[in-house]
Amino acid sequence: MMHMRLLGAILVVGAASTWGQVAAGRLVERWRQLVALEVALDVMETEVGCGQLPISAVFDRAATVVGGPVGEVLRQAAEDTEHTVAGWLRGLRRLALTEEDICVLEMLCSYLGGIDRREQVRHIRICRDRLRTQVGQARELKKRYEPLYRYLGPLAGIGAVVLLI
Amino acid sequence: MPDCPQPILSVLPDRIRLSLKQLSPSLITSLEEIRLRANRPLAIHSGGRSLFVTDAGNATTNPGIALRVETGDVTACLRLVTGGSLYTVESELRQGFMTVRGGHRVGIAGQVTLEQGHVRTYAHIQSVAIRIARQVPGCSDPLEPRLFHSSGRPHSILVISPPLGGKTTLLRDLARRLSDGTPGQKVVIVDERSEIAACYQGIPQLEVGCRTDVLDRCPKADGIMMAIRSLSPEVIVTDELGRPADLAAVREALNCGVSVITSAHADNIDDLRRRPSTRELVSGGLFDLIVELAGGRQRGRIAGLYPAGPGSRATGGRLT
Repeated sequence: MMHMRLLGAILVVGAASTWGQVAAGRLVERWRQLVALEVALDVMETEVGCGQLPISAVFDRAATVVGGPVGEVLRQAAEDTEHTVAGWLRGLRRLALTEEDICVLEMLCSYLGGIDRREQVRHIRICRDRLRTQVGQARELKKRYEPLYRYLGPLAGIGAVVLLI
Repeated sequence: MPDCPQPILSVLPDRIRLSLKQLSPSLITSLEEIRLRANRPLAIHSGGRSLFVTDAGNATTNPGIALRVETGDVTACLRLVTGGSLYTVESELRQGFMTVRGGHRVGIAGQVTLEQGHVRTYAHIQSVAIRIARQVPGCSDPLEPRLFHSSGRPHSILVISPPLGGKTTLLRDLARRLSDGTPGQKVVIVDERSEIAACYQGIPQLEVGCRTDVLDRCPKADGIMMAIRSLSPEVIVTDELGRPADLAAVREALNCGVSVITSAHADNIDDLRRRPSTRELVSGGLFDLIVELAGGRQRGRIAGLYPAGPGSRATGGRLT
């Protein structure tokens, strides 16, 4: 009986700790991915403004620069040369972004490739400025809640075990 | 069974593509233009006739039963033409057309955005006109005996006809013939409107000969001078002379010993003589030969050959 209780307690504490780690990891990952997207927009601005590369090639170049999950999404979008932007928008939903983050990028997607260079660069800059606000917010959330989730998980588990026993 | 050229099918939205693929073989063989206008019927120009196309791919003269093109179709077509990157074709857009693989031209119409009095871009593109590039190898065969001086130097030739008379087609074939001939001539095509060689990304999509260089989308006057300076041509081929600067450049080329083969809009040689802007082409002693092409249903047929060089220019007597 004692063994069963011990096993149950371990499971509860383990599950709560995992939840805490996942929640903290998501905060960190969102911040990292937003920073990567900011870099990707920098690359896009340079390539669209100075180069003659079609949008799929621009995405491919940005993917090489940023790497990671964001790079993977960009690369997959670049492979579909006919529906690059739509593919990117779909891919964004697989990342650790919030609806608000996606909304900022979605506004850019409606312009990407469909307008002239000067307007294109202007919209990329506007999007990057908005994304910068999101990065600041994500950094703040990470700073404030990441340690909290990391400690809160195991503590909540221990608390639950004490109450149950 | 003939089909629309693949480069054209690949830039059409699915439903338009499916409809056009069902057109009768005779219409497809003589297809000249496909026109997509937002909220209007799908139109084609084939064999000199203007027709509409239904969902099932039947040609009709009744616009009411034709397939209605939507704004989304025009947008999708543009996306396919530009690879989803309108900004990469800005300079082409300013001229109002783009060239796709195969040399076919995609003209556009819509709301133009101006900057300092010049076209900067289009805000809303609502019409797309796809002109199918065709070549007629051998159409210059009847001119072969008259292409060279007794010294072996190629004649300078002016081709005249009404619009759609086949001037560009003849110029292209003359360039090919002189370039591939024995002895082959070094030919430079100054192709201001990308019509003679129909370059796609700088590469001629139509047959212009193995010794031919192309200055694509280059203004005629500038291109002729650039060619003389750097490409040592024996023959310069260019289309549609008209401006005084073009005439001056042609004169400079002739003074440098380069033969010039070019064209001008005119119904016939009398029309050419009558108009102040083109009179000098006949009376200036610039060309050795003027070729008059018939228009309308007989387009491409050589309607007259006139010697126009010094000595004969006063009379401009007809050879054939």
